Amino acid sequence: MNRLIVSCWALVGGATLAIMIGLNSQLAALLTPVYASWLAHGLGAISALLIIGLIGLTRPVSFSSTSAKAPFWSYLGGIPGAVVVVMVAITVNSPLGLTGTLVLSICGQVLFSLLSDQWGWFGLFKRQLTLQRLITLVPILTGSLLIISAKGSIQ
Amino acid sequence: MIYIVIALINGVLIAMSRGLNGRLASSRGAFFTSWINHLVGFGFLTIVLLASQGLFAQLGTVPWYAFLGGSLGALFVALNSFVLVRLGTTQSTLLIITGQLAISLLIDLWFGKITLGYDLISLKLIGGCLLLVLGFYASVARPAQKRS
Repeated sequence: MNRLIVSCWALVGGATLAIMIGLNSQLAALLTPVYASWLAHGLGAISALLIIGLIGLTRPVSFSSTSAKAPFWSYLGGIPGAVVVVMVAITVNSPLGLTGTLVLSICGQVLFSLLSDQWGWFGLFKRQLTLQRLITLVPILTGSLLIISAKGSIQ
Repeated sequence: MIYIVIALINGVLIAMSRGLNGRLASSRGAFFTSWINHLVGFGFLTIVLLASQGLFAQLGTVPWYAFLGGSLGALFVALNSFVLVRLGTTQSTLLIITGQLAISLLIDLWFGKITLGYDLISLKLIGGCLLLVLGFYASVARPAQKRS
């Protein structure tokens, strides 16, 4: 598929994530972070099932493997995701605040992504760091840090 | 100091979660992955809640739209899994961060939380946006390799 189209879907994903975080933090402010996330995961599971059902109406969804069989550990992605919710609640209320939490989380994400691409972790393709990949990484990382620090100095 | 380590580990766990979901999606599809991801997270958080505050809370004061976060989460995991398998973990992480910051800036501008003027903060915001656009362009314009 066209690289531009896939990249635009990634941007849409990021936008979805930002709005999701905004809504979930409203929920967390009224309840507790863990409770809000619990509700969001439950409603998310129902939503995903509904979407699968809707797609299934127009065209049958194959539940059988398309490529290699998925190993059991690949079903566990929900656990680190849920642990993050608990830990973010801790760091946002620490001296780091929202800004520090965001910056360090982005650093952790990029570092771990680089390592897993380099060595092909999770059974995905190896994509070694080249100069061309660095040309994408450096501006996006510095741009992100600039925006977060500017927004942090407003709040 | 301990908080810095926790915040860094958060990022590692986020990337790990995406990687695992990407692997599952490459065999079972993006929406199936999203469903499993939320189901497993729901189960895990149920245990956490049972061990702490219990499963009951006052929901009367919550505005209806605050419940839509879960549905957006379902869409996000599906989108992430779809993209990650095609672009690799690093590229998809960077582009997701770009989309995230761009929309959050637009929302802040829309609601008047940020106003642009001739000051250092605006300069940083505009400079940051230009760098994001540059990075996106560099990412897309990269000449096709063996696996695109």
